[in-house]
Amino acid sequence: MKPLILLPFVATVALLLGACGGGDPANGAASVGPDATGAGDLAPDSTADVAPAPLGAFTADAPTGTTFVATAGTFAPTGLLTVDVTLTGFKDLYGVAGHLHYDPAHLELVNIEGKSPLVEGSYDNPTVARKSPAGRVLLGTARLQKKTGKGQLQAPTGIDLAGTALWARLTFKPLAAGSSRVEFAPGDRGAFDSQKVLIKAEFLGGKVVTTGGAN
Amino acid sequence: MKRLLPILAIITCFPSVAIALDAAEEAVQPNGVPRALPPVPGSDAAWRDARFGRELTPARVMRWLEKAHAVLRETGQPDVDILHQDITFEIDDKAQTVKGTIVATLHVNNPGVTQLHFRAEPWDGVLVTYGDLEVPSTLTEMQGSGVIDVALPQALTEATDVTISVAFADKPQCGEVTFLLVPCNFDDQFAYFAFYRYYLQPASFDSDPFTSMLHVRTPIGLMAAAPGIPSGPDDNKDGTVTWNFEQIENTENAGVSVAVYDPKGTPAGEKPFINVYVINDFSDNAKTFIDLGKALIAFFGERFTPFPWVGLNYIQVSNELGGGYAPLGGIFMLRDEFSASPDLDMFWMTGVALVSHETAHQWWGNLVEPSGAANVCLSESLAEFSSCYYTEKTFNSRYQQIQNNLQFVYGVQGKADVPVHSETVYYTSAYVPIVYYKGSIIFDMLRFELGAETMMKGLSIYATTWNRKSAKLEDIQAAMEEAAGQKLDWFFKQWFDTKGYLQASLRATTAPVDPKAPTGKTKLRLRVVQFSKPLRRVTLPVAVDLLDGTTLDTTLVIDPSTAADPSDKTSVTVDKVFDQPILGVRVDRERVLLREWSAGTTGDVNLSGLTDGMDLVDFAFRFGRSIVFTAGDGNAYFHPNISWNEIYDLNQDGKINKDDLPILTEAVGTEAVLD
Repeated sequence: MKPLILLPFVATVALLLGACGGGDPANGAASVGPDATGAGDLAPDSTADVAPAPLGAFTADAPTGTTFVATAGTFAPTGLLTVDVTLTGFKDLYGVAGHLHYDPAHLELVNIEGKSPLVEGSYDNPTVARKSPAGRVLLGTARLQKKTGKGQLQAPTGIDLAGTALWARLTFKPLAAGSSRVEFAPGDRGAFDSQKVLIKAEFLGGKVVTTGGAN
Repeated sequence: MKRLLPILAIITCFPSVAIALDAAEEAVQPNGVPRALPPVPGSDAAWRDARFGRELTPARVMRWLEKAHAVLRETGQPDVDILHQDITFEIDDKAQTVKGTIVATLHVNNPGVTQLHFRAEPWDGVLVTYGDLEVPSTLTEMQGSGVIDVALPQALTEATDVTISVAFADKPQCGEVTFLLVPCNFDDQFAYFAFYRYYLQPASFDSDPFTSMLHVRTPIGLMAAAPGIPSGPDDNKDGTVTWNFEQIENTENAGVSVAVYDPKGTPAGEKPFINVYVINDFSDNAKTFIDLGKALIAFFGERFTPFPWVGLNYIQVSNELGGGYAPLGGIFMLRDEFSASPDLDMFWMTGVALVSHETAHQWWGNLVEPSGAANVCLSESLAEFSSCYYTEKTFNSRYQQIQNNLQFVYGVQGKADVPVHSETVYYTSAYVPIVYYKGSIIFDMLRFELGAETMMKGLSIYATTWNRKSAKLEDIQAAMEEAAGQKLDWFFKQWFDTKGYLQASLRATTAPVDPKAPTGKTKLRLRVVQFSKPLRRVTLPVAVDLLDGTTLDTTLVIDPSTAADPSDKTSVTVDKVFDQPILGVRVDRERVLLREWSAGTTGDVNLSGLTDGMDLVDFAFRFGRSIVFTAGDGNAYFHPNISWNEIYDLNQDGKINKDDLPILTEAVGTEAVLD
């Protein structure tokens, strides 16, 4: 194990996540709250029998509205960074997609876990979450109407998200000390209601600061 | 004057009948989409099957027709023209018999004419008189028709007009389908209908239009209806009444019906008059049809030429017409079509589509007749185009065009497919999908290419130039070129003279114009690779969905002559710059073109250049669409679903469903490369 390095106190993520509320686990949404903060408390010392301090901090962009896609990062004691991509405040949401960019020189994407935040009753909810070259994760989730018996498809309906729902969970391995952003680039993102009208929503990223590379 | 009888050129089939036309072909198309339903009993498809068997091919029909024509033409010399026919026609609905007398005025063209030959029905008891003299005649049944040969006592004098009288009596066999139509029937309310079995025509099948006066004698309680100016009834001494219809225009497209009609019409003196002949059960809807007729006459009259006739009679019949039949100044339609009313949304739309098609025939097929079988598109395709244009403007919907488009693209393949402009088109089992559907969409594509205003100007030039004449396809091309101020050879050749449609893959990239100094300006690069022949030049309607949620409609011209590789003109790449980042691209979203797309980059259904989550979202909005349905017999059949977009059907089975999803998700991350 590498020597632990003391980190400054970072509260930003905790504040953000505290506003998010919990999702419905049954719907594939993650339960996130203040305890899930990625902020590293000040490590009292560097002794081996104390949980190792995180290797960095994730500062999430703060929303200015009530409908947004957010990213929230937490550093594990192993040094791995988990970034949850969540959906908040959406009404009649039928599908959402975006490209989440990161700096591959700074972070190595080691795992992607797509969730199904829009599944409900007569709808399936496939999600795509795939790494593509040059530091990009392709995300998308949409509702697919199930046919019931011999009946015709009904007019599409979106879903109202009561709180915050987990869309995808990404695990990064910091490669070195440094700073970079994890963010959705404009032009490659959008959320749509059941009438295929673009929903006005913020796509929020965050700043990742690492003090070194993880194992 | 020399041309084939155009009677088939003004008959419309129901879409449901049209769907049935290709059942004789293999059950499943190469792309896995099941073919159409089996023929509807009584439809033209069923008739063709009965006459020609299931292995019908255009060549086989042509051979049959050539044989028939050859026999007729051996005896059918154009020694005389028929100028006028005064027809007295008597119906006995109880005995189910008809009898009549035709007094025909003929103009003698040639010297030394001692024989006359007419095509008529295989009537019984034919008696021919010339002057006051009964003259020898024989009636020969031939290929379901009849030829009357008349021997004159002396040679006719060239360049004079003579009169001949033909009397007949008959007990018609009404169950036999002839030229798509059941010719007559006797029942409680509809006593009789005939579309040509009461007048003389040249034995040669050549056209010889004439003016006419029709007198129909019926028992009291029955009423006759026919094209032309109605008058009567006149009382007869025997207790019958006579209904008169004067046809002041030269035409050989006619018809007559006798039923317990309760007609309604426009007020006396209104021009043009409109009469609606319906039986009592439907009389509540008569005003609806009068209003619709007025609207159609105004709509087409403003665009083509003013309505050319003195009036129009809409006539309800009980016969299977496959939709409708529209001779000059009259429209015959099946009984239930008169049930349509604006309260019945889809039924009304379908009804208006039919009525507008038949009404458009007053211009296309009557005012301007198609010259020969190869030009039938000048009647049927134009009438259907006009109908589509009317319903689009009236209902703000391209429902009719899209259905027509799909029914051709997915309904016609293999040997049944022939060019719209070809001698064999009349005789292919896919006659309706090719002439009505493909033909109408070709004219609709021309409208898109030229703009509606120019298209209507061209039609007006065409209708004016060829008023009361016979025209060929090249004539309407010339009119369109005059209106547009440009040559249109390329369009007419690639669409009218070739079979098939445009099949192509679409591949696109989107990228910032200047990646180093992003301004938002984004370049769309679209590559169209055609794999159908011939290679076609097309103007693509392209809807570009932009970052701000707006959609920009534009066009991109795909011209194989501009292909980067002169040795391979199948692939054409075009660029266009937009002010914002592009979320996706939809090519021909209103299905203007006769086409079938596939995504050149697997899964990149929104043509962003990368298969990604946005493609999944787009796919979700199309999910569940299908052009295949399973009928009660357990078999799968084609259905022209207007919301269909084949680019989302990744496994090409006619259904956008869960089976396509793995193809898309597996392809996520695939990037289009267009150097």
